[in-house]
Amino acid sequence: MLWLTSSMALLAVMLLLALMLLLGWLATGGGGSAGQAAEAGDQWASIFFMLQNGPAPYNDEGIFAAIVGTVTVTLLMTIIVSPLGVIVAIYLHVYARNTWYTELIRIGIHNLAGVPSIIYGVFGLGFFVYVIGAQIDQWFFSAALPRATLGTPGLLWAAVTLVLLTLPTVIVATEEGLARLPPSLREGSLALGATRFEMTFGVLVPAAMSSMVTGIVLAIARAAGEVAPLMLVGAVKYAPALPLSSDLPFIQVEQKFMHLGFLLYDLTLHAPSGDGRIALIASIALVLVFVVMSLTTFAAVLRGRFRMQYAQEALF
Amino acid sequence: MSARNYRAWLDRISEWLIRATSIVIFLVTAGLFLQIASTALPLFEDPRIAPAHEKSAAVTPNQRLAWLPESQNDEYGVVPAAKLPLVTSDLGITSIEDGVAHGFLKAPARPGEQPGLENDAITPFSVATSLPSVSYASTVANGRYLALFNKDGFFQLGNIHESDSTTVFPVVDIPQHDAVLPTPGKRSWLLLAGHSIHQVHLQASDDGLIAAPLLTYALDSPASVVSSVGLTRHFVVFDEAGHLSLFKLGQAKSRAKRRAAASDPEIEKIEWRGPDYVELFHVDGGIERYRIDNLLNTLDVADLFMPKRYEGYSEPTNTWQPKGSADGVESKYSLQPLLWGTVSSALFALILSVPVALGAAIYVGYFMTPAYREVVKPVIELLAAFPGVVIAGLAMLWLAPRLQGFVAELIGILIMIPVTVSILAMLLGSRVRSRPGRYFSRRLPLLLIPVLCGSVYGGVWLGSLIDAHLFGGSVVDWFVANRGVSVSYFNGLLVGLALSIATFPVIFSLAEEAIFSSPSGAAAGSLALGASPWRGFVDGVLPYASPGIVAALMLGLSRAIGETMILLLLSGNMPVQTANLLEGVRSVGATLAIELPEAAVDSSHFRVLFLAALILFLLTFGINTVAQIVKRRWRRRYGVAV
Amino acid sequence: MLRRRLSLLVVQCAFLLTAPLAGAAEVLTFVGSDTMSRLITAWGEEFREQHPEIVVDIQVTGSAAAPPALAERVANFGVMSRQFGEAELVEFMGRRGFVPLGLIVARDSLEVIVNQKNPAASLSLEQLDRIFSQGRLCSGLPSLTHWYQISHGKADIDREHPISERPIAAMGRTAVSGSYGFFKNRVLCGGDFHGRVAELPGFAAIVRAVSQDSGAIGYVGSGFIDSSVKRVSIETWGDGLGAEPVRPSAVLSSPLKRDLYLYLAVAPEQTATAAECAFLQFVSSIAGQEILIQQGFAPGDLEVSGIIKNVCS
Repeated sequence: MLWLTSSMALLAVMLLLALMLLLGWLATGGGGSAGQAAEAGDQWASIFFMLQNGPAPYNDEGIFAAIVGTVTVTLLMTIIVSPLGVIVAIYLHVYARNTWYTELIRIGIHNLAGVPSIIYGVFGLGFFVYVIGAQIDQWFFSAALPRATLGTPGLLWAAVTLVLLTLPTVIVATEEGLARLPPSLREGSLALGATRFEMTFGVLVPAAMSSMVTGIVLAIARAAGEVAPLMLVGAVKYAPALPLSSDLPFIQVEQKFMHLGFLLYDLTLHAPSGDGRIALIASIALVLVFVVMSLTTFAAVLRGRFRMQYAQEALF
Repeated sequence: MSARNYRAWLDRISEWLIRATSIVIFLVTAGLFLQIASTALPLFEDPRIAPAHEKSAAVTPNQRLAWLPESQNDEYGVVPAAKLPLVTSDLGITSIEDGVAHGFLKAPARPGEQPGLENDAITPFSVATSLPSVSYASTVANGRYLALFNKDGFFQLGNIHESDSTTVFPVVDIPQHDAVLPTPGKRSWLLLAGHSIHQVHLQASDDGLIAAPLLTYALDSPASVVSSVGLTRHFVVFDEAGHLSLFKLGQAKSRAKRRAAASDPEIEKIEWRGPDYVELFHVDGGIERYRIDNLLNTLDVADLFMPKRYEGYSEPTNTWQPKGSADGVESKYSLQPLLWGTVSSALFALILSVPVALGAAIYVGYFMTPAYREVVKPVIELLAAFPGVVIAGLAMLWLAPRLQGFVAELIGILIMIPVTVSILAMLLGSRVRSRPGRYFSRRLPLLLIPVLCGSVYGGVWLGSLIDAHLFGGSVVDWFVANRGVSVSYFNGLLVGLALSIATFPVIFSLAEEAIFSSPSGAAAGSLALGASPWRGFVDGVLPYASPGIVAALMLGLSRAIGETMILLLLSGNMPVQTANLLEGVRSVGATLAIELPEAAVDSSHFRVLFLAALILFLLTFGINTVAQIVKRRWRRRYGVAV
Repeated sequence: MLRRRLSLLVVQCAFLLTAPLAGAAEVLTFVGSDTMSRLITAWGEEFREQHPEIVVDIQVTGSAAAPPALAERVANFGVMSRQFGEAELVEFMGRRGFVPLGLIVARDSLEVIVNQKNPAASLSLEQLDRIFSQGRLCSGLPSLTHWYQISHGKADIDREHPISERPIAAMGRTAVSGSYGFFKNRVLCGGDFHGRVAELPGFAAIVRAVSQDSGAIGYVGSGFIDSSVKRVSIETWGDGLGAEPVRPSAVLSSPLKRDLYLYLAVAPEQTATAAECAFLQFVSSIAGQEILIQQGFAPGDLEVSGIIKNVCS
C-alpha cells in the first residue's frame, strides 16, 4: 500500500507537470503550423514583455487590465471571506449548541458548495446589486442618481458573490480543523481560567491554523477561476479604466473590471481556431494559472510559518 | 477597567459579534435558498378561472397576443401599433375533380409590411388526392405539403410542388370529426367530434408524414362550444353541463374548471381576448367575461419527470428542449436528462479522482516525514490553481481530438500502473519496510518515478497492442461498426477526465489535513506492537481521520456537481440519458449557464431552471445529511470533540 | 533595509497601475448574436482608428440576449441574426414604449460544414432534416445515422471509404442562438433537434469540433468558415413553390440566406447618440462595406443610409 499511495502522489505531481508543460507547449505554438508558431512567439512576447493596456485582445494587445482585475477581485474576496468563514466556523464549533437546527444550518452551509455557480451570479445580481446596491445608492449616493453607483454590477458585488461561492469551503475546512483538536486543549484552557474568547482565539485558532489556511487556499483557487457568476455581476470584456486609482479609496469598487477567466471563456468560444489563437488562449491560460499559483503559494507559505505547536509526533 | 473586567468585556463583545455575523451569514444563505425556492415553486400552482368585470377593450401591449388564423377565426385583440409585423396566411380548396384538388394559397405578407389582401400574392395550386371531399386543409412542412382532412375520418398528404403534385400519398385513418381546429405551429390539430376532442399530430412514418392520434381530451360531459387554441397553447371548452374547462395542449385532463353563468344552449362562441382573458358570447348578445389566473408559467409534475409524447414524436420520451424564441412550439422540460447528466458525470469524476486523491493524501499525510511534506503538499496543491475554464480549454484543444483513438491506451495505463507498482511492492516490500523514514520520503518516490513513467509507456503500448490485434485498429471504431454503439466527439469520458482534475485538489487537501492532524498515539502503539505501517494507518489513523475524509469527499462531490465551465465546454450539452461513456451528457450547471441569462424572468423556462437547481440543492442536502450523521457517529465513537 | 526597499517598490508599482487607458471615453456595447461577432469586431478595430475615443465592446451569447439588453439600456446595439419575435416586441414595447429600429446591415447564409476528410460535396435540405431532426417533420423520411447512408448524386459515400462506418455527429448551437432558431424553422420545419445533436456555445467551437472529428457535421454562419473545414453546398427540395435551381451556394442564392440585423433603441421622434451615429455612418461607408465583404458577408439593405439620415440628423 505504501507503494501504491506513493505512486498516487507521484502521479499527481506528474499530472501537474504535464499540464504545465502542455500549456506552455500550446502557448508557444505547438499543435499549429510553423507560421503559427512564429506568430505565437510574437504574441507571447507581447503579452509578457509589453503587458500594455488595450481593448479586448482580438487585436493582440495586452491583458494587463485583466490581470489587475483578476488579482483585485480575488484579493478583495479573500479579505472578506477569511474572517467571515472563520467566524462562522468558530460559531458553529464553539458557541452553538448541538441541536438539530444547528446541524441543519451546518448542512445547509455545506450544501451551498453544490449549487451550480451561475445561481450565485443570479442571486448576486438580483439581491446584492438590485436590492442592497440600490438601497445604498439611495442612502449615500443619491446625488448621483439615476446613474447607479453601487446599484449596478461592479467589483464589490463580484467579490461578494465570490465570497458566497467559496464560504462553504472555508467553513468546512476550518470546522474540520477545529473538530480534530483534542478536547484537552479546550478543557485545559478553560480550566486555567481563560475566557471563551481567549480560548478560541488564543488556543484553538492557532492550533487549527493549518486547516484554516488550507480552506482559504482552496477558496482562492476556486474563486480566481470562476467565470459563470462573474459574467452577470461585473466582469466585462472591455473596461474603460482599471479599478485602481491614485486617490482614496485606491480601489474603485463600483467599477466594472476585466477578468482573465472571462477573457478565456470568451476567446475559447468566439475566436477562430486558426491563426495562432490557440497559442493566445494558452498564453492567457498560463498567465491565469501563474496568477492563481502565486496567490495560493503566498497563502500556503503563510500557513507553513504557523508552526503547529500542538502537532502530533511524526511517525516516520 | 481592571484586567479581569476587560477580559470579560472582550469575551462578551466577541461573542456578540460572532453570533451576529454568523446569523447574518445564515440569513443570506437562507435567502439564497428561498430565492431559488420562491422562483421555482410557483411553477406548480394551478390555474383558476375567475369572473372578470372590466371590459376587455383596453388590452395593453403586454397582454396582446398575435393570433395566426388558419380558418374562419379572425385575429383578436387590439393591435397597439401598425408597425408590429403581422403574418397571416389563408388557403382554400375550390374544387376536387378527377383525383385532383384545386385551390389557392395566399402567400404571407412580407414582415414589416401592412397586412391586407392587396399586398398578398395569390398562388393557385393543384394537388393529387384520392379523398372525395376535403373539409379542412393546411400547409405543413414550411409549405412543402398540404394536409387534407376529410370529415368521415380520413387524412391525406398532398404535395404542393408542381413537379411532385401527382404523387399520391397513402390515406390515413383519423377519428371522425365535425370540425378541425389548428394549433400554433401547425403540427397538430384538434378534431372536434361532436362530444369529444381528439388531437392528431404530424408524425414521420415509413409512408412519409401521417397524422397520428396523439391524445384524447378527457371531458366530463360532452363539449358544446370550443374556443380556438391560443398561442399559449390553451383552449377553453364549454360543455353541456354548463361548465367551463381549461385545457392545455398535451395534457389530457383539464387544468381548471368553473361553472358558467349561462347554461348550454345559450352560448354561441368563446373567444380569447388576451393571453388569459376569455369572453363567452351569448346567443342573445350578452357577454360573459372570465380571467384565468396562473395560466402561464405553470407545469405539471408529470411534464417534468415522466416520459411524455410530444407533438411530432412517435413515442414518449424524456426530452429537454425549450422553445427559446420560436413561437408556437411546444417546450420540452423534462428534468431527467439534466439530473442524470449532472449526477453521472460527478460520480464518474469521483471514481477517477478519489483513489488518486486519497492515495496521495495518505502518502503525504502519513508516510512522509513532515519536512518533506511541507514541500510536497503545496506542490500538489498547485493543481488547484487550474481553474475550470483552463482545464476545459486544455481538454478541448488537446485532449478531445485524441481521445477517441486513445481509449484502449487509457485502459492500458489504468491497468499497468497498479499492476507494476504492486509487483514491485511485492518484490522489494520487506526491504523497504524495515527502513522507514527518509526511505519513505526520499528514496521511494525517486525509485518510483522511472517505474511510473515505464508503466505509463507500457500501458500505452499494451493498449495499442490490444487495438491492433483484438480490434483491428481502434477499439472505439470496432464497437461503432460491429455493435452499433454511438460515439460522440464530446463525451462523458472527456468530461470525467477533466472534472476529475478539478475535484482532485479539493479532496486531496482536506483529506491530507485530516490524516496529518490525527493523533498519532494509536498508530504509534500498533507500530510498536509490530504492525506494518499500513496496518498502523488503518487501525490507528483512519478512525480519527475518517470524518475529515468524508468531509473531503462531500466537498469534492459538491464541486463536481456545481462545476459549470467544464461541463459547458466539453459535454456537448446533449440531453440524452445513457450509460455509454462515449456519448455526450448535459448537466444542470451548463444548462443554467447557457439558458438562464436569456430566459425571460419568471417565465416557465426561468422557473424550471431554478427548479432544477432546487432539486440539486435538495439532493446534495440529503447526501450531506447522511454524511454528517456518519461523521458524528464516528467522532463520538473515537472520542474526539464533536 | 530590505523591507524598506520592498515597500518602496510596491508603492512605485502601485502608481504604475494607476495609469488610465489611453483616452478611451465611450464604450459602444453590442449584445447578441455570434454570427456577426467577428464582423463587428473587425468594424470596431477599423472604427477605432478613426474615432480613438470610442471603443466597441461586444458581448456575444446569442440573438436571444439582444432584446432584453436593449430594453434594459445595457446595450447600445442589439445584434441579431433574425428579427425580433412577437413576444420580444411586446416585451420591449412594454418596457420602453416604442418599437426598436431594425437595420439590415448585412446578409449571410447559414452554411453546413463537414470535416476535410469527408467526401460529401452537397446535401439536400431533406437530408439535413433527416440528420438533425428528431421527428423529421420536413422530410417525413427515416433518420440518417451513418455516413454510408448518404448518397446523393456524385457524392456517394461508398462502403470502402473510412468515413462510411462513422456515425454522423451533428453539431449545432445552443437554444439561445438565432441561428439555432433559423435552422429549426427553415431546415427542420419547426421540428425538434434530436437529443444527440451537440449544443455548442459558439460558432468557433463548432468549427473546431468539425475540423477534428471526421464524422462531424455542423452549421455555422458563412463568415466563420476557414480552411480547416469543408463547406457542403445545399440543394433545395426540387422545383416548386419558392424553390431555387441547384447551384453552388453563394450567399444570396443559398436556400439558407438570412438578413442580419442591428437593432437600436431609438424612439420614432428621437435621434441616436453621436457615437452610435458615427458607427452607423462608418458601417455604410466604403471602408465599412469593404470589411463586410472581406469577412464573407453580403451587403445589407442599401436603404440603411437613408434611415441613418433620419435617425442621425
